[in-house]
Formats: sequence, C-alpha cells, structure tokens
Amino acid sequence: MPHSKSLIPTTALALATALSSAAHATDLKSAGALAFDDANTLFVGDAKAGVVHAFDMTGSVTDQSAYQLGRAQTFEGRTIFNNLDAEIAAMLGVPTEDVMINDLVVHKPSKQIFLSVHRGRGPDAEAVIIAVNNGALEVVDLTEPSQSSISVGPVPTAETLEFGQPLNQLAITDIDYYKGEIFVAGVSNEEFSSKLRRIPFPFTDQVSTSSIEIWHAVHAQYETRAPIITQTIAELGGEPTLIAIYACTPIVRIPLADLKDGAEVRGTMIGEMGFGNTPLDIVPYVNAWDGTSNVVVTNTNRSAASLNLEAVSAAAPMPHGEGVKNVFSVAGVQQFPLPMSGVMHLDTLDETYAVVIRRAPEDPRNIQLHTLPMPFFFDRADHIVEMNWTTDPRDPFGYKSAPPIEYN
Amino acid sequence: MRLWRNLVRRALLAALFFIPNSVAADIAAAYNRITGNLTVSGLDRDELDLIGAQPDRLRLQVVDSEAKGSMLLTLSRRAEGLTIKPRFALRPGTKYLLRVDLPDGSMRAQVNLPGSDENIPRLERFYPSQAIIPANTLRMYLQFSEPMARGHLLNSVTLLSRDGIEVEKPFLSLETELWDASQTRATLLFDPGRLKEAVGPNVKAGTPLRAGESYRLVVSEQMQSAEGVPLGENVEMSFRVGPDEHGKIAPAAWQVMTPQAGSSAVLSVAFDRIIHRFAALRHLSLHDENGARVKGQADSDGGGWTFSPFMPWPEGTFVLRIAPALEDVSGNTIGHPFDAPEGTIGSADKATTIRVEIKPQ
Repeated sequence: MPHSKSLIPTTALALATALSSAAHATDLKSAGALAFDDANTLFVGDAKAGVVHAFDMTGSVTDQSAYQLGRAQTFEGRTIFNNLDAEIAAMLGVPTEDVMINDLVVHKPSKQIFLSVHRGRGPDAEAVIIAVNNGALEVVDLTEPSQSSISVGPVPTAETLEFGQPLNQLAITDIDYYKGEIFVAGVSNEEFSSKLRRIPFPFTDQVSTSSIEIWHAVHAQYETRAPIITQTIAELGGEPTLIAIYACTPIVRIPLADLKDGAEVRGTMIGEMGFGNTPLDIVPYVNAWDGTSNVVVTNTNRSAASLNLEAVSAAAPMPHGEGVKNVFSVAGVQQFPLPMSGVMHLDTLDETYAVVIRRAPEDPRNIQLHTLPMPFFFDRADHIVEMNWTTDPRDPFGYKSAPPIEYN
Repeated sequence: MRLWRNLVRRALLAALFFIPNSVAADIAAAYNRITGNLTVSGLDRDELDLIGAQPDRLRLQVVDSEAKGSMLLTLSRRAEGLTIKPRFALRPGTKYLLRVDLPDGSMRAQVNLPGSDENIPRLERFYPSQAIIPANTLRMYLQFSEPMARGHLLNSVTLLSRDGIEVEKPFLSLETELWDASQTRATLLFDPGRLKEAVGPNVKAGTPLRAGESYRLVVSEQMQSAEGVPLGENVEMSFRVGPDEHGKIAPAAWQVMTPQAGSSAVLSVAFDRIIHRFAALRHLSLHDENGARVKGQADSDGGGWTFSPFMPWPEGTFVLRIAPALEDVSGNTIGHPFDAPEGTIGSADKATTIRVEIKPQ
C-alpha cells in the first residue's frame, strides 16, 4: 500500500487532531542539496533559511536490501517509478507542474533513497523530504528525528535589519560529508566570490563557519573566481583532497589541509570538461570489475564522464602562464565518457547499482527513478544494440537465454 | 474580466462559510476554509463502514491526475458525515476530484477551491539600469511586481542583438535559479566562462555582449507568477554595450558632494563606474567620528550612492566605509579585478574609507 490512510473512530478524534497538527517540521523553509554522513544523519540544504539542517534519521530509515534493483549480469536496471513527478504530485495534492524535485541521496547502510521536494513554485512552496520504501513513496515526518542546524547564508544582523532586509541569498549547490565535517558549496545571487564552508559536525554552539575563498588558475595567463557547483572528497595518495568542478567546468584538486579558515587557497586545475555546460553531480564509486576508485560526473549539456582517482591524483597541473594556448574543450586528466544523458540527479546505491532521476530515453516527458548497473552506468534496454534483437539468433553474452526478471 | 471574477469570488467567500460545490450528484463534498477539511455527505452507514475497513477505496486527487494513489489524508467519522483532513493543505484555485470506489460502482464529487487574488505580474525594473553597460557585465536583475514561479526563468528570457538574432546561451544554466526570498527579483548570471579573458568559451563563442552593439532582453509573455498568472505580453528592455571594465574599483576617483551642516540635504557620491547596485546598498555605510553608523536612508542606482539623514547634519568629520566585498557590475572589487594577472590574487583586503567633512555655511 503506497500511501497510508486510516479511518479513525469518532472517539479517537481529539487525539487524531493533535497528532496531525504536528505533521510538518516548520523550520524547514526549503529543501535543496542532500547528503548523509557515514551513519544516519541526513543533511538538508535550506537556502531560504540560509542554513544546513541535520536530522538524526535513526529509527526513520527502513532497510531496502530485499528490494531487487535490477540484474547487473545482463546489464538491466530497474525502473522504480515512471512519472515520478506525477506520483509525488498525487501524494501532495498538487498538479504535476507544481512539484520540484531538487535532489536525491541514498542512505548507504539501508540503501534507502531520499528526495528533497518542493510543493509549489512560489515563495510559499512547502519543503518535503520523501523516502522510497520498497518501491513506494512516503513523506518523511521530520518532527520525529532530533534536529540541529547551522547558518551558512548571509546572516541578518541587528544592523542590517535596521538598515533594510538584505535581498542576498546563497543557493546551496552541494553538501558533502567527510570524517566529522561537512563542506558546503553555493552560489550567491549578488556576489561572485567562490566561498566554501567547512563546518564541523556535530555542529558546535557557535557559528564557526569557515569561509574559504578558492582561486584557481584557468587557461592562459589569467586566474579568476568562479562558483564551485559540485564537489567530493577522496583520498588521493593517502591525502584527503577536495575534487571540485566549477561553473565553467574546470576540474580542480585542493588538499583539505589547505582549506583553513580565512585562507585564500589556490586549487590545482587538472582538467576541463568543456564549455557550454554545467556540472550536476560528482559521486565517488569503486569499479567492482577492476577494483579501481573513480568519480562519475553528470552534466547539463554533455554526457556523463568517469575520472579515475589515480589519474586525478597523478594529473599534472594544466599549463598556464604566458604563451600557453587556450583550451577549447575537454582537456587535462583523462575522462571516460559514459552513456548517460538526461540525468538530473545521481547517487550510488551499493557497489553494483547507481540510482538516477532522469528523463526516459524514449520519452523525455517521463521522469523516471531508475537504477543503472555499474561500473558502466549502462542499461541495455536504453540502447539499440544487436544483443536486444529478438530476430538475431546470436546471443554471445547469454542475455536472451536469461529468464525474464520477475521483480518483487 | 479578471477583476469581475475576483469580485464574484470574494462575494462568495464572504457569504459562505461552507462551500458546497460538488459537481457529481451522488455524493457531496464541502470544503471548510477555516479547518481546511472536506466533509463528505451522501454515504450511508454500510458504505462508511466499508471505507473504514478499506480506506484505499477513497481517493482525493487533483482533477486530471493520472496517478493511481490518493493525496495523503486522514479520515474520520462525525455526525455530519465523513471528514477528510488532507496532510497538505488544498491549494487555492485548484480543482480536486473525490472518488469513492464501492462494490456497486464509484461515486464522485468535484471540489473547486476559489483562487486567491490573482494579480497580473509586471516586470517593473531591470538592473543595471544604465543605458550603456560594460561588455563584461556579470549579472542582470529582473524586478517583478509579484512573486514569480521558479523553474521557468531561463526558458523565459531571450537576449537579442540589434538585428534580432538570438544570442546563444548567454546565461549560466544552474540547477537552482537565483531569486531573492520574496521571489520577486531574479538574478541572471552571464556564463562566467564566456566573460573571462582567454578562457575557452570566451575565445570560441566570444563574450555574450559586444562593445558598440545594442541588445534587447525579452521576457516572455508566458512567464508566470507563483499564482500561475502569466505576464500576458512580452516585455523588452533595450541597452547598449560599452567597452569591458577590467580595472579595480577606484574610490579615490569617486566624487563626493557634501551637504551643509544644519541641513537635511542628501549626501551624494558619484562612482567611477557602474557599481553593482545591491552591493552598494549593502557595502557602503556612513559613520561618525566615533564609528557609530549614521541613521538615514541610502539609495543607489549603480552610478552613485545617496544618503538622506534622519536628523539634520551636524558639523564634523564623517567616514564613508566601503567593505572589501563591494563589486562593480563586472565583478571587479577594490582589491582586485575580476580577471587578475597570475600571482596577483591572494592579498587580504581591508575596508577602504573616504573622509567626508560637513561644514557650516
């Protein structure tokens, strides 16, 4: 039963009213970027309130290991939902176009998928966190988990309030957790500086947000500022390193040790993903076939790419300085293109499957929640390949002789 | 026409506490706008028992929804009938369909919620508002009269050159749109890769704006307010483009026009270039000799900054403080230009000050 409803006898009415009136967490003003720590803490970027919330989801996550994710042996992913936006709209009681799906994250220990969603497109849009529970959608009751928050946006002081409410906001583009800290990237609607906030977790009483400006060398003889759009943290040669992708798609490597409060850090630019494009997500994964560590990067206007972390670690800084020719397109550290386009959000479920929200390859109006077998992020059914043709007697990989999948 | 509709709606709202407006005859559903609940009548005891045992027989959906499930709700039985408490409030101006599937057929009732006041949105202003802006301008702002709907901004704006040719992808496509909290002001960010000197996209596609050219920024008639009301007509803003601005902001070149002591006249500052208007409002402040902030009304059009004191000016020395985060429309600051030669970025920036002497007549 996907949606829970209950008929309450008249005698229990007073109790029911009391319970349902506490159905929403009121201080979640918006819900954007999502991240989990290594345990059960869900971080939610709330750009409107200018904070990152942390919810302890212990007791609110449900194990999903019995839910079949596909059949990786035959390169088959599973469509968990077609028309995901319409399904969510039905639950929330709004037309489909009034649903905005802002991010997706997987709670790795349980493989449970969580979505941040807005009900409405106006300034009064309600923020909702939705969990996928064995193929059904559930609204997460955020009054249950214990919660803490930290300010990351422009904080109105007594003085700024007296002299007029500021209009500036930080759109939080990414949150990453690494060993007791979160790293928050964002784009301001009024300032161009690239500030990365490094915040210890559990949050301390003081607002101890570190503001770190990152300068990166770009092509030819200039260095400049740009917002980080997406980032991840990985150990490169034993050293924890931030791998960040900027708005105009340079790939930059910055040792975490350099990110000190107030520091103006110069990252090492090691690649360029090509112009006319904005990165969406960068997610680490291990290639189970060869044991290598990698990151997958999804893009708005180019297909996704995989970067090997050893290559990222070993990559020489891209040449810059006088006399260097400009880079027009993909360059630097080797990028392995992946057959993934139309992807809006991506995370890994386990060592075998990733999950994406995407536009269906055969019908872009259909927004799917779909799994993809790794390490190639490739679903055979999406592509026209000989091994799918029923009239072709060849079956070199034994796909056709495999029985049809019967999902639970 | 719209005004007339609103008047009718208001009259209905004022007259009715309950709004019985079911369309199908078999059951009726009344919306209580105080509690936000629906009360369903026309179901007999056996039918209510059956729904109690199998609540999935009842579905409440937006009309035309193709989804299988109902919106989240809680049911309870009262003397006047079945009460539906939706988990998320029913939205004004939306039509809902209540459907109850019973063994001998399904019963339906439609509930049409009155819309809230629908004002036609207007595009009131855009910034920078100067007739000529630098070719490497970083952002443009659109100020609307009403809160607007998120998600359609980049599809709604088109930049045309003088001959009507569309400039290809001039703005950065971010996952999140940049609005202020009221969603009346949108930020359009020119693709930074197209603006920085000698970066691939710049060299290949050129800056989106070219010096000496005229442009029109067109906002589509279809762009909608948060209430779903479209602009109704295309809005065009014309501007001309001058040379790039690559230098640091130079407060030493600003011209300060000081009022006389005893007057409440405006203190005005003329900038050396077009400063980012909202940054000027946030990052310029006037202080007295003791460092206390002078109370008054500041304003800026980007070309200058004006300050009207709440109290008449006393004689004395004042300090105009300029925070290091101040940017011009091209992203240059006091500390460094947007495109900095290698090795010049990294020095810590401090606030700059300008002394202002207020003298008697």
